[in-house]
Amino acid sequence: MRPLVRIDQLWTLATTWYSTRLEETSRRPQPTEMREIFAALGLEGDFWDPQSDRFG
Amino acid sequence: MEFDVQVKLAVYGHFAETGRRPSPDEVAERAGSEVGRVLDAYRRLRAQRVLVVEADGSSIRMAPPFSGVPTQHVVESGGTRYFGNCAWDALGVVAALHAPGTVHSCCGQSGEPLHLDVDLQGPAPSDWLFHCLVPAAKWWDDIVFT
Repeated sequence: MRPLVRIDQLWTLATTWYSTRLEETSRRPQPTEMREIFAALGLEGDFWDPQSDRFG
Repeated sequence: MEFDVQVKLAVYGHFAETGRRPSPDEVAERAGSEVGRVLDAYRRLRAQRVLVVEADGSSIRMAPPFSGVPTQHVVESGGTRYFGNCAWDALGVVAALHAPGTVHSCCGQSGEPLHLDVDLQGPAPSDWLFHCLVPAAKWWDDIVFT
């Protein structure tokens, strides 16, 4: 079963990723930052690791 | 300002103002440059995962959270209609605009229409769930599918 994300968690992801998107200094989270963001929401494990080599 | 940043801001600014993707001519005008340089910048921005361009090399498919094509994830804010690439990006449109909006979509399982009001503090309470099908390490293998 693939991970399920609650709406409140999804809002945190949306604001973290995009709240500065229209600004000059905006940049995408890097892999380490992504893992930290996901972990803070309780989204952990290989599925949420952007550098996991577990999925072929 | 670095040229690629100018192009990025021109693209995103157009999306924010109109809800639709800009043409290369519109981006060039907005960035004070020419189409050839803009298309070169698109390639570099794609490598940075800031833009996704169609096979023609000039039509913007995605400037996340904005979709360049109609999708089922519609956001209405300030009298403008936007398309998100997915449910996450639909909320991302509201977050990027820093303005309240309403997300219209449908349940991926049942097809039931979904409507969610979102203000600056976040969405109205809901028991809906976002089902993430693709592992994070594979998102950009085919970001349109993801």
